[in-house]
Amino acid sequence: MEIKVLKKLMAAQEADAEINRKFFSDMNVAAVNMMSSPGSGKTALLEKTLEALGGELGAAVVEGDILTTLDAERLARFGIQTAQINTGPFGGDCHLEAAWVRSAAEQLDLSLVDLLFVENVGNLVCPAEFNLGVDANVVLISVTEGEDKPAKYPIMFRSCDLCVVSKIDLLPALDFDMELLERNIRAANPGLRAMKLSAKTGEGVCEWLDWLRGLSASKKRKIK
Amino acid sequence: MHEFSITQELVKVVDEARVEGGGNPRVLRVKIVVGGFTAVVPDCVRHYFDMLVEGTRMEGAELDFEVAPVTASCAACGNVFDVVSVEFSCPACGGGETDIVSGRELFVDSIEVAD
Repeated sequence: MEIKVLKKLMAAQEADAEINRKFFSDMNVAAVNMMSSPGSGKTALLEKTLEALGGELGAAVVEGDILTTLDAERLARFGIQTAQINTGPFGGDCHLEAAWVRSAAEQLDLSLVDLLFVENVGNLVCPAEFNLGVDANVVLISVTEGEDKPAKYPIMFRSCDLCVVSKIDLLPALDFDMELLERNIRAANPGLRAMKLSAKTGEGVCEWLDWLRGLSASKKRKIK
Repeated sequence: MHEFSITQELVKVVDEARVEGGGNPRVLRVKIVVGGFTAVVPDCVRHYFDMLVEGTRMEGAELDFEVAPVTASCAACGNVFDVVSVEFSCPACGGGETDIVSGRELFVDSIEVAD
């Protein structure tokens, strides 16, 4: 006997993401989900961001890793609050889920926080499938990874609001075709902005900070 | 790897549907619709499913995956097109503002239980 079911398999995830959206709004916080391959420079960019922002905007970080608290320790040096999620207890999961992000964020005092960064597990596949209910999804791609990544991992590039092209200080040492990368980004997500920067030299970081300021300001306008 | 979370949800959905009509029937087959633009590997789901349903009335059930095509629509000209080789710009007008119509599905369509 056949029974019609017609039930989504991500329904629980979507419901959790919706709870997060409300939670971040209630807390008056703009949440930014940072995703990339391992080693693209998510933590380095956050270090540069915290240094450059100074106290201009209140920031906190939810740090996702399978194991270790190394990245959270790097960021805690800037005097900000961090909450660690180690996905090891969940079976070494390669991504963050909305409910885990919320329970980590709930450990933080968000009253003085404007920007909540969620540093996802380094991976271009799985995190793209999990809606965290954040205000913006950002993918980083470093110039050492090759121009083909948007073509190989299109779901990630399609699910993001901004693409940061990192480590551009290395360009003189590489045969990197920036035009080809931009073409591949446009194919996967024609409206996706590619922002080139180096967390090491600071080149392009101003644009990134302006983007964050804009995100925070538009969130506050929405809440009012 | 993220297929594990998805398969846990799959087992829950199938088990609920199985007992909805009363009785305690065995599940013979599960039909799942998965979009061509999702990162879900059917063989991974099968592997986790077999592991999770061992010793239950779902043990031995076949998982049939139907892959939904990837199509998008253009906000500028309304053209609905098949997405070929990860090219999401509109092939008719070149417009970049396109929405996925099909390809992101992930749901249980139906199950077959022993009468």
